[in-house]
Amino acid sequence: MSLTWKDKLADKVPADLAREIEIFENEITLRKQGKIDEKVFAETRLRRGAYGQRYDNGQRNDGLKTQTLQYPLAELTKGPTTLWDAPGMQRIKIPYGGLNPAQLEALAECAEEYSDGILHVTTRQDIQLHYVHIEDTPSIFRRLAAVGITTREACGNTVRNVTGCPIAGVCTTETFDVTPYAKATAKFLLGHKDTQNFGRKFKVAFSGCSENACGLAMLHDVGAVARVKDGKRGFEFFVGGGLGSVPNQAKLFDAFLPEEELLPMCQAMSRVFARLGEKKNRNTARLKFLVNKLGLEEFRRLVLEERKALPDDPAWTAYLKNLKVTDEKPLKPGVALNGQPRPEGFDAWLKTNVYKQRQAGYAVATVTLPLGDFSARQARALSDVARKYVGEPMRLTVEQNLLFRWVSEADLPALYGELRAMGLGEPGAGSIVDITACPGTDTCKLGISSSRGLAGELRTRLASRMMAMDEAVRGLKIKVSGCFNSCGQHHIADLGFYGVSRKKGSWSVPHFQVLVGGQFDHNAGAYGLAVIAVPSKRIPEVVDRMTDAFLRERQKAETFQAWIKRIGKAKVRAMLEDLTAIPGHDENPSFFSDWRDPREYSNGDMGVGECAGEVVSPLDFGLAAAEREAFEAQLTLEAGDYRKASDQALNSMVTAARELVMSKAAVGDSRPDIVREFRDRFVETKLFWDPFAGGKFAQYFFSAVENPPASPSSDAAHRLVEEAQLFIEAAHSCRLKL
Amino acid sequence: MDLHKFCVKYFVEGSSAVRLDEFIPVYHRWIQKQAVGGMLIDVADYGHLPQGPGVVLVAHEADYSMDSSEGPLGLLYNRKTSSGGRLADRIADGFRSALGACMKLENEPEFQGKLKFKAGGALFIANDRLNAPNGEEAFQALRSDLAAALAKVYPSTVELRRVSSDPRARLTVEVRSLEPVGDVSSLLARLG
Repeated sequence: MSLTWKDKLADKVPADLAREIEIFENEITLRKQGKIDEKVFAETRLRRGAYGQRYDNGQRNDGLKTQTLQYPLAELTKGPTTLWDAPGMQRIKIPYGGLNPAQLEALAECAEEYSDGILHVTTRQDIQLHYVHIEDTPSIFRRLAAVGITTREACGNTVRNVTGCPIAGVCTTETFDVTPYAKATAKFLLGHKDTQNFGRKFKVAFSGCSENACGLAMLHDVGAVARVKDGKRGFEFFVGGGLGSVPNQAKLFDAFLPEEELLPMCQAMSRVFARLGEKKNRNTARLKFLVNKLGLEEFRRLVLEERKALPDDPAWTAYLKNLKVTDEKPLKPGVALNGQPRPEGFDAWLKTNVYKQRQAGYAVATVTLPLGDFSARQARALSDVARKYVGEPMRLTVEQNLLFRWVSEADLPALYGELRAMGLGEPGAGSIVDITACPGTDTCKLGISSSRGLAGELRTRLASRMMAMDEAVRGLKIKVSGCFNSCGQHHIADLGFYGVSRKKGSWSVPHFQVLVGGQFDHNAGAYGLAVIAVPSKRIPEVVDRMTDAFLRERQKAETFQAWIKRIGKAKVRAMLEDLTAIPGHDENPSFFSDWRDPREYSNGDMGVGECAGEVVSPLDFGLAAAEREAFEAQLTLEAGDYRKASDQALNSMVTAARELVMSKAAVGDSRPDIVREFRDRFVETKLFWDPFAGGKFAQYFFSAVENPPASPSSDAAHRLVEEAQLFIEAAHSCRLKL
Repeated sequence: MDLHKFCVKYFVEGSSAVRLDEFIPVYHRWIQKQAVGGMLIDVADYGHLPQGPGVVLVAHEADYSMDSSEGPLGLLYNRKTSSGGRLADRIADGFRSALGACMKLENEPEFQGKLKFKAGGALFIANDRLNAPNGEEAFQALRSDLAAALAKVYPSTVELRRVSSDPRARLTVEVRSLEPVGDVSSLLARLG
């Protein structure tokens, strides 16, 4: 038998994660056997971060015609219209973007062996791998779990990655270090029973202060900004923010939420969201819609009422006893940069990529990752640099970069030299060339235009003249999304773009809507508005024209945003109006294909997004879990452990019965309670009743619970496993009647 | 050795003559014409990343990229799925696919006279740290199958050298013919 990662890492993967991964592996097996519904499997994989990718419906327009992609397992799906063998995206949660070298190396190994060798940093401090086969995911999960990373709840209708300021703890303007709070929140909400029945995703962000943008608290479902009141720590607590097609500024829920109330309030809010949030229409299912529908006052009342009713949980405050758990120890003494030889290009890099920490002699160095990408080899080289100069700490940023913290300033020239050697020494972090872009049509099923193609093109054009630019222009932010859903955060850029398409005769033409008026600072303080749609190939002219006009017309130290406000959007539109013209196809065919994609443009490749996940009822999830337990009983039976197989079979029946009861009324884990409630609500009422077998399947359950075999023989264990499977089948039939 | 996932790379001579973005339309054309074996899916452009995988033709069974992450620019064939047969045959098949792609690229109108691959050497990368970790033991376990495969590719003796001793890296073997060889098409002809 060949070696597996499961065997090799058996003593390195924490037991809870090992169990979690084993469950998923079994669900993969069951799906291949057709024993799990595709919708349930889709949500189950999404909750492990295994996402769909463009063309996974087996269709792709090659520029001439739509080709069918003939995957080997053509009939098997991993979700509605999502083929089993089609490559997918694996999202990996990195809470508050915090990484250590060993984790980065594990990510690099996975990128090399299961993906295309690239690690992509997202705008929410995740890492994404693309072109991953679903059957490789358990190995990925194990290799990551061995270094303390879980992908659990990275996608789907769950609490997504908890983000936070990447310079928390070393920042000169923060109120206090939010890192331990972000870490505790991520841990507390992960897999919490009150976060498992959302109609949509739920995003949480932490900021250390109001003025600077790093945490982007205002665009999250829950945004917590550090505050101190009367010497006591707490948070300015915002709710209902979000971008997407309908952007919403978060509303102030509480001007000062004491630190000990952070976790219970998140829990109470989760309960209200799970109970009252929209479940059927995914377009109105985010928390922001619930807050708007109820009104902030009523929403607050409901949450506070829920908070009062919550049973105490020691986890709410346990972490407060050791807030230093996330503190970092510098590897070297902080020594000022003073007289060291400076390599070529260092001064430009120093100007844009280095931030002086509040701790004397230390700096944060930003590694600008082009379009958020770096290779596996570069990841290993970055790990070496981390070990050599800072020890452990690295952070990913919402601007798709990577930071080294606690760099002794005297080491900056040498560190820069090493970055240059690996091809990652470009200056311009946070500047107009450091463009944020979502995956867009490269890999996303919802992409309309090529966001990465455009971002790459703008980056190339702007980089060559960056150092000659006026400071006011150099500091502008450009963000690009492939569609209106704003994964590229186009609403909070000085110049934002999102993909749309327009027709010219019978031809489709890729376009971008131009947004102005957005603000990155003040935690995403303002959202821009679309002023005009311009052909994709003319967007570089938009950038040039807007920045030239800004420089020409700005008054004193006027910001770009203030200038836009003063001149008005009508003038901006008029300034760009002529750029909307589309030449004839014969005259300039390049307009009819997208950046860095020579195919004749078509939006026929768009698919159904999985961002909203599948709304699967807790009962369906529960029955799938029972089914998986019964399958595990089968495996144990095969292995010859009859005692354990019998226990597992019985447990699977209890799970199915409990889930049915839970669909009618609350019930705990007490087996007698479950049996009693099941008997009263389902058997006595003949809801659990087979037209041919009558109550036989329920009797299997009662008999197994009341007279569990003391030391089961092979036959007895076998019989119980079979009965469990029949009981679960009957539970599915019963579910249809509910 | 139970190895199915591996890469073969042939380096470009004088890489300054070609630009990465020139490969994008070529690979798209290959998809339209199903010009190489396997189920071709899409083209991934990482040309913006220095020392990266460049431009990748993504397929179900194996990717083809113009790669700069494993040394200088070259065609990297990355076998991803399992296939039957003996390891030596699977490796020989990988070399056949890599050389076939090299020859096809050399003959594309965009690259005629501009792009030439060095046939006298290659990289072999075991892309599987579980079955082929980067160590001397795994190298020795691989050596006989790799040599048997290369005997079909090269007319004379080849030298095999493990490139790096970094245990985090993949087991990577430099292949160098000790005698002058012709071009990629002559090697391909040997493989039949």
